[in-house]
Parts: sequence; C-alpha cells; structure tokens
Amino acid sequence: MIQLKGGYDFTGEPVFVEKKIVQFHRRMRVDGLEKFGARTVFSAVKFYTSVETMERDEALGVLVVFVEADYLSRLLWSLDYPRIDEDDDAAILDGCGTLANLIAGYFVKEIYDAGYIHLQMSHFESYINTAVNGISFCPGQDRKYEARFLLQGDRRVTAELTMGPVPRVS
Amino acid sequence: MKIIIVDDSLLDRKLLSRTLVNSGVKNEILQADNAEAAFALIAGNIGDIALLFLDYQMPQMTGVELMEGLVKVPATAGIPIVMVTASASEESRQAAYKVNPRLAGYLLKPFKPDQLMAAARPYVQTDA
Repeated sequence: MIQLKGGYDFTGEPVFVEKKIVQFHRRMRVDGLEKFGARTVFSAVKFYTSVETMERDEALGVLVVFVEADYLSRLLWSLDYPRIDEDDDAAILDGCGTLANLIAGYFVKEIYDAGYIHLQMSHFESYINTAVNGISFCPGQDRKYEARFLLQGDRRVTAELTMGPVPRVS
Repeated sequence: MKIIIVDDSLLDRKLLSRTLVNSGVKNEILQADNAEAAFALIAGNIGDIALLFLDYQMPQMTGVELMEGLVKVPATAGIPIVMVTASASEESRQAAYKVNPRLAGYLLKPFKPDQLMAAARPYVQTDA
C-alpha cells in the first residue's frame, strides 16, 4: 500500500524478528519509545474470528503499527491525506490509527485470499510512547513478530503482530 | 441537501470532505465521529440528506450495525449510503449488501477521487 499509493520504495527488505510477549494481567506490554529512540505514536487494531467474539473482546490477534511521530505527517501525505500537525497529540493519535486501520484492512484481505476465514477488525486504539495499561491480545500466545520497515534509508515504521490460530475456510 | 460523513478517524473525515469539495460538490457537509452522534445528526436532518458516508469499523457500534438501524426505520430507510472501509474482503462487502441491498456504494480506503465521485455523483450537486 505504501509502495503502490505512496510512491515510496522500501530501502531494503523488511526485517522480521520473533519476540517474546511481556504480559501482565492478560494484557501485552507495548512500548513505542524503544522502537526509534524518539517520540513514537502507535496504534493497535485487534482481530476476531466473529462478530460475537468481537462483542466479547476475545481477540484472536492484534496488529500494532509504530511510526516515528515526526515522520507520520509525511507518510500520510504520501497517501493523499491532509497534512497533520506533528505537535498536536490528538492529530497524530488519529493519524496513526487511520494508517493502522488501512494496514489491518490489507492484512485481513490477504489472509482471507490465502484461504482463511474473514477476520473482524476492531476500531483502532492509539498511544504516544507507551500504552500504560497494555493491550489485550490472544492470551494463549507468547510470541509476537516484529517487522521493521526502512524508508528513505531509515527505520520509520515498525509493525508487531501476534495471532492465534486462524481457522481455514471450511 | 446535506452530505453526512460518519467516521471515527478525523483524518478520514477530512480526506473525504476535502475530496468532495475539490471535486466540485456543492452540498453542505456534516460530520460525526461515532454512531450515537450520527443518529442525532440524521434525526435532525431527516428529509434533507443527499448522501451518507459510513465507516465500517467504529467503536461501540460498527457502520453496518448503524446502517441496520437506519434501514429498519421507514423515515431513514431511503437515505443513500456509501460504506467506506479498510476491510477489502469480499465477505465484508457481502455483509454490508445483505444488511442494505440498496447500498449506494462500497468504497475501499485508501480511495481515489474518481472512485469516490463515481459513488457520490448520482446523489450530490456539483459544479458541472
């Protein structure tokens, strides 16, 4: 999406890293500051197997998209969104959520096209630097996968994904 | 007549609104960031709504649930609705059309201006 619509070329192949989930009270610890060493905004979109599990907030997985706050406006601009004020917390929280929603939508389509069920997506939750109370996730999982994307030579966007077993379309 | 945009993302509302205006749409554009605010806005403008843009993923009540409520009420059942979503799967599209077979359009984010106007043009006032 970023390559096609935004006209960006990734500087290199994304780097994937498997990580252990740090959890407390069945919520996943998520910290943005460690990603870029700078002010970071991040947004989470949760996935559910059905509308019913979504209503009970029984998430099967969660995608967290991290963006260096000072880079977010440029990234969104490349996708034809209006410019946002990077010093306006509400604007960057909303902007990162909008981006995470787009990426999650593509993810749902890709896994559906690969023969898995259609996952329901939550609305986004956004945070700056850290999610103090953590983020709910599939409690049976203890690993998450981090993808680091290099844009214009620097690490600008990182995504973390944890996901329980997604049923195949029967 | 008015256009109502319902989306929890301010940025998406701005993008939609700006694209409509830049495409020459003359209708007044109103915005709501959740279903409850949308119901209030719709109730206050019954009979004066040209088109409703509805986001699929919203907190508390999804766009499909909101639309389900609207199509059950005779006074709002005829409002043209364009669903706007990041969920590109065929199943989401079918779920929306099942709730509202008269759906005026199903728009995928990020959309292009001509895709937006193809859905909106039959219902809005433009320069041309």
